[in-house]
Amino acid sequence: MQADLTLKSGRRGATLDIQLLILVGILVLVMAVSTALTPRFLSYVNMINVLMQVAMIMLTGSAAVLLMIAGAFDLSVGMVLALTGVMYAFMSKNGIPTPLALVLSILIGSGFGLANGALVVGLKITPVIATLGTMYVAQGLAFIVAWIDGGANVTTGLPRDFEVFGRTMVGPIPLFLLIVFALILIFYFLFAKTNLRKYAFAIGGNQTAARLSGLKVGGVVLALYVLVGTLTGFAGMTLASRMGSGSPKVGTGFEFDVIVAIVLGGTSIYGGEGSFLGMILGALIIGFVGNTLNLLNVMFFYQTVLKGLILVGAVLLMRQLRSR
Amino acid sequence: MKRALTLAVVLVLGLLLLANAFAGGQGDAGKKSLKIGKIPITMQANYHQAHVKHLIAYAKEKYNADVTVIDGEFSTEASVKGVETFIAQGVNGILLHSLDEKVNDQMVKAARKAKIPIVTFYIPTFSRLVPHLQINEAETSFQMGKVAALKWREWYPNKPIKIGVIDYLTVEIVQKHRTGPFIAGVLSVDPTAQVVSKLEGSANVQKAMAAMQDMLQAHPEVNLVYGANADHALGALAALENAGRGKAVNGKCLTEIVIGTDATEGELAKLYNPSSSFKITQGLQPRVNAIAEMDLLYNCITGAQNPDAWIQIDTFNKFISYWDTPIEEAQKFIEDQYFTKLDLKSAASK
Repeated sequence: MQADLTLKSGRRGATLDIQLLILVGILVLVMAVSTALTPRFLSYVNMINVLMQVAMIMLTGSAAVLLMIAGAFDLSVGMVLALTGVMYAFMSKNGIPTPLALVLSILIGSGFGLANGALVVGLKITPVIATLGTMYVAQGLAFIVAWIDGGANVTTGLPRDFEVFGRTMVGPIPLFLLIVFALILIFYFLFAKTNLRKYAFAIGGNQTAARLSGLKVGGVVLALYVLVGTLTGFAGMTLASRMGSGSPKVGTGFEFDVIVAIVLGGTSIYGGEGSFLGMILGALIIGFVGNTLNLLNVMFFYQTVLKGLILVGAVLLMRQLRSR
Repeated sequence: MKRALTLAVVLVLGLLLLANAFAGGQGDAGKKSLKIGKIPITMQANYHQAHVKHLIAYAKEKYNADVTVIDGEFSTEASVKGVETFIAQGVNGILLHSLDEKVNDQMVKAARKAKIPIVTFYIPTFSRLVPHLQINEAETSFQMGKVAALKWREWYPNKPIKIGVIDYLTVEIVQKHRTGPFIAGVLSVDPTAQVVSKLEGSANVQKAMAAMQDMLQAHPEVNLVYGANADHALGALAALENAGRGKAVNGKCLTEIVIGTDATEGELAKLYNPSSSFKITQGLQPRVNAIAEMDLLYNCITGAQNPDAWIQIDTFNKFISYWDTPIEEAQKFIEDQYFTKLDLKSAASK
């Protein structure tokens, strides 16, 4: 018997709308305060800078938000980001045509997603442990590959077209940003218009009920992990192309940036509820706050304190709303 | 069955213990090699990988010493565990490069309590307890600042110097040995120069790039960009290049001079590219430091140097600039120090 996969009661839907409105309000407030504090904030170049800085978070978050709604999450994204970037550089440097290296590095990300899914779904390992394990594996591999190359980064001897994808401009807009936003739009469509969203909510809401209703829970979760891995692979490759090198040290803390954006956007870490648009807004809020503090030359330590306070404050606010 | 299995396991363990005891005895017949424990602050950087490689080779060749390495993982906890492990193993000497002077005191006291000589590198003990090897980076950092300021004044006497730093705020000694002296070097040429921005790079090229993007937005007038390590400098350069800057014509920088630290292959490839504004760096010398460190420790082991007396031995970095250091000299430097096979001329022309 097919369960009723209607996602939200009227009350829950209304709560989500209010959460989104609050997030929009916070974003507008942040931008208004930033504009008042520093005249250089509200400029085209600065807006593009911030978008470039949060683009990878939003891209990985596009699939990760669905995963979290389904009650799982992925701690390995930071190190998979690093590994795919290092592999893209290593392969390009060692004779593999750059376009092929680009595709292969994305597939490496997919491979890690598959591994995560297999561990969680197939071997029933809790997502924290499974993805922590693959995180360490990816981190170690990234350093090993760089070491095989002869050092701690893959920086020299890269072909000229290595940086093309990350640095080409289409008019005033970076090409990679256009592609990232196209991908995000595709995922928004997946989120808003397809059954994948319904399944994620159903699984996150009550996994047993979802299974009993005939939903292939394992298949859906596996697919989501593969999607997260694929998008992370794309992000890692793009970052390496922008930087002009493959570094095992990028991506440190990236998994938490993604989780912060998702949680700030109203997604519950227990699964069952969440918002794609909320994730986008959450990423933008964190991005603009960090950007403003840098523009104002505020010391780094205060930035991390503020990030923590914003996250906790937002979660408390959301919880208040839910309890009404 | 179970009893037989247990008996078999006990028997095997007993045999192994006996074998171990006899092996130690047989080893005494020949010259026993020294056991040295090395704790680098991290193995995630070119410099430290090369340092360890040189150390292992030199220690074996000169002193018949076997070096075991425990990665400090940029963490005091990992360093403490490393020292404890080496004490438990009863090594003949320990080489320590850790983050915190005060925690160093505790680790050193523990080693000395176990009568194991220990030498610190780059970051000393707070109480100056044991011999220490120090890279005198302050001199080279000062020189870099001075040369950068002189060049800028030579090219653009009407453009005031504005310094931007991608810094390492969480590591105090970097302020003392690198950033501070660099700024002092600039000010020694132009006392009106200003530090317009100091942002954290976290030893991460991506974070350095993002920080530099923000710095360019807030202070587009910045014209001396200093990175406290290679990742910071290269991340800053990537941001500049993305913004259409980072350029030079035949070595004359157009909008800024980028100054780095470490002289990694990546840095030198950019430095010797006449079209890049990355033009100055200082090369840490892992071979020089590894030899000096091992020699000092050996003297402590033999008693030639009092292992409980403070003494500081200084080594120096190599100043490298596009204008003053021929590329052949830099090529030899990275081959000698970093085991590299990179053809610098070819890399710099890309």
